[in-house]
Amino acid sequence: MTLQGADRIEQELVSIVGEANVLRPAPEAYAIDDRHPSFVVFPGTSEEVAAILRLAHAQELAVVPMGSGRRLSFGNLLERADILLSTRRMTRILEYEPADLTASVEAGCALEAFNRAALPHRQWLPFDPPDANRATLGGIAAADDFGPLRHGYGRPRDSVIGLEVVQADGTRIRAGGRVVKNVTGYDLNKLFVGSFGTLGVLVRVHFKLRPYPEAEATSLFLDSEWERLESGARQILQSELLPAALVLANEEAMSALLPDYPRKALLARFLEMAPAVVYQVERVKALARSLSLEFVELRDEASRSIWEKLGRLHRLLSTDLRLRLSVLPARTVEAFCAGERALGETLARLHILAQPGTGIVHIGGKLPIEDEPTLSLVVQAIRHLRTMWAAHRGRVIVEHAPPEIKRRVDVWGEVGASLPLMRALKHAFDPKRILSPGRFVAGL
Amino acid sequence: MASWIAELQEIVGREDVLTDPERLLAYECDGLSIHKHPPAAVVFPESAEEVVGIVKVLWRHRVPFLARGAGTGLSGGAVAVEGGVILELARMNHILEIDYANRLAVVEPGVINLMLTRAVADAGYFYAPDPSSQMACTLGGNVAENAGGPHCLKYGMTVHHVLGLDVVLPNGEVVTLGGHGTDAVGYDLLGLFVGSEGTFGIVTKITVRLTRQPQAVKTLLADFLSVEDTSRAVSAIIAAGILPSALEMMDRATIEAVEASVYAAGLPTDAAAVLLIELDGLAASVEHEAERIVELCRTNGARQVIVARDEAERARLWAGRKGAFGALGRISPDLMVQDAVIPRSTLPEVLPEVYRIAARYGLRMANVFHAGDGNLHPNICFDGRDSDEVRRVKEACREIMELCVRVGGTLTGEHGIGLDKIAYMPLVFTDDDLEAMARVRAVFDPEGLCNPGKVLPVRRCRAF
Repeated sequence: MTLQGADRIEQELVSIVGEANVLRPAPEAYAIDDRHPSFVVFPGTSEEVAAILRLAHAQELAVVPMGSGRRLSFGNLLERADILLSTRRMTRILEYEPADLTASVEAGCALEAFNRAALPHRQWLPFDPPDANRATLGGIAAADDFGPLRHGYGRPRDSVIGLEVVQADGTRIRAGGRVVKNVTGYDLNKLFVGSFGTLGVLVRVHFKLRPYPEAEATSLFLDSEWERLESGARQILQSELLPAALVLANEEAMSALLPDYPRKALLARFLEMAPAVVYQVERVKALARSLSLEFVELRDEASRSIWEKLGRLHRLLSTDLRLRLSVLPARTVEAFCAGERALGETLARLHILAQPGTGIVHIGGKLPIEDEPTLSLVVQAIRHLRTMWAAHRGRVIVEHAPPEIKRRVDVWGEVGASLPLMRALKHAFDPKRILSPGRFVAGL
Repeated sequence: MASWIAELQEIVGREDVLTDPERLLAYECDGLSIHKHPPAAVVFPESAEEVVGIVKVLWRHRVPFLARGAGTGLSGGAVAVEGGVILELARMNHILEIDYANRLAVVEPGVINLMLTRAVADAGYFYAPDPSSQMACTLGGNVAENAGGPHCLKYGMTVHHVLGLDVVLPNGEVVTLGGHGTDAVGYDLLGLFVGSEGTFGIVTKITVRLTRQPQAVKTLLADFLSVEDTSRAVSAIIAAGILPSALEMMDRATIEAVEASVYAAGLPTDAAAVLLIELDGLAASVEHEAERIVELCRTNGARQVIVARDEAERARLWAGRKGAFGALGRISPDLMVQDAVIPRSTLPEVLPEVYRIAARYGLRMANVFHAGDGNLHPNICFDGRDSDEVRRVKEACREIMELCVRVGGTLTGEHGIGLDKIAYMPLVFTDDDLEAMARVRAVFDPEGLCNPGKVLPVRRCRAF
């Protein structure tokens, strides 16, 4: 982009969103990996988003949509990043009818703000992605971003019932609708949710909500070995109990979460009617006794707070590498032990959070030094884990890593035989490759 | 004889390619009898390899084709509109793997929905989506239609229970969508495929989630003297933050038909409507929720609320509900089983209006539906030989669709668009929306060979 070209584009952006809502160049806080976008824009309406996209499409400028920016570094390195499009000003709750148990929000609406508004009606969106306190609902949908509550409530993908999307050329389309059950035409919600801003810009999201639980408690089993904790998890999963979240955490994770208990742990979160919470806590207490495991019970606020802290764990431990493994649930412990073996000597503060019910494993840690040997050890470990787990349908995604690592390894891993379909979809929705180019699988 | 027929015979054997017009009649329509189109041939593959072989032949000869399961669909989705070939998958009916440790099962597409639940019941599991046709419909058909059922209020639709698919694309290539138990990376092609009504390809293997049977189940029956009160009770239950596993409404016309049939469940024939409510989960919460529901029904005018005493009574109530379509089918030569969705809070205003529309066209209507998620099934009894009545049925259906869309609802909650509702698509979607859908379809099926003529309208020489 020439200087004059950039001036002209700035003028056009200003004419769309107003002077106060264009930053040029992007301040350091808006860097994505080591890329610095030329502009940050803050549209206030979906019409403004559409106008920005029309401009970008005509000029072939790369647009990167963002919510709070929590997950901007999730993905491969961007090929180009001209305009960072923030939904920060689009925060309204557009429709909320408690008797329908559904709501429509603008993409920049914060998860926390929405749940505060729904609480008086005893309803909520049961999402707990990392840094949930900052998350926007558009961002959660775009990244299909989940946390431990996935165990009991599914992924955000399963709660999105409708979307309004601005396409690469600026035309607006709607997917789904406002009702909880809908098979009218193709479900384009599925296409956009989890597409990381590479197919369109989400401007409105319709969700189905859940009743807010009457009570909550968390049970902790503690031990020095995984074996009995794993057995505890298995017994809970095969019982009548209905934990909303079930997580295995290693010593490093626990010393940050509950410094009094720096041991291996199994955490089970119960969100239910009060008598059902009491019943379940009693049941797992008995289970802990039968396995001779130390048992701790956290109620209400203490329970809420440990899960909130768990969502910030990567910050508490200054994580700069974070992997997500997805394996068959019965292999969860095997998977993180393999991860620990592969990375244990390279990473400091190696922490593990694993969901034995869904097979999702997070391994994070700090690179003690970013020198060549360390980087190549990490890259080797990622490749090793991928090869090892591919044989068991397992996947290894790099959720967070320094650019030097992303330059050497595709953060998403192999896609397989369906890649040509994905390429064709990208081409059908963004033929000029202006939406977050390079970020997605195989650099789409 | 077309040369491709000989090629198909080579793959599956002469016996398994039907071309005799009389035998093809059985395949001219699905569960919705008003759309009749006989196929050019029906083939019976027994393996994924045979499906690939058949599809490659048809692709090469540019012959349109579609997969069919039990043919219980209700939108005219499993009929060959352009004289195409039907791949009947009923023989691919093996449960390939049951893995309790990972709570999943791998099945072929011809496995009947209820057979899977029966296969895992003793171990304490079930397959959650339970369309009313579950004794006959196939899981492959469920995937194509993203089938629902009474219990999807709590458990979600088919798409929430499918973990992986092996698919033969229209050009004969084989792809895996989803991770068959783990998260795949990239665009959610699995979610996109489920509910694509057979227009993206043919499924040859399905991995589904198994769900643990709940500790406790309670089934309640509440009867009301007005449909408005019944609707208000539904809204009150949802607004109170209770998510029953099922919340079904049956009106008087349905009750009368059921009670006069073999499905008689002892329903009160003098009630204006009944609610069949099921709660499941932990005994401690189910007890508590049942008390609240009794109270909410009473406050909203229920005459009586009874709780099923035992499994036998529970089964009888459900047999009445699931047999309702069959019972209604007995009382007139033809039955139009409609399907539409509205925001559930609008039920008290919409339902009376639906009856008024039927009355205006002089039609007999019975409503039996998934009230808890606002999924209406207005059923119209008619005689297909009476052309004036058929016209009135069509006009009334259009008015009902327009009404539902006007209040923020949509055209179909679980039956699909198929052939039957294509004309209504522009009520819900703009040209741009439809064009985006058409782009997705073209990615999977660039030649338009796979179940053509379904889902998307073709207008003004521009194919959506």
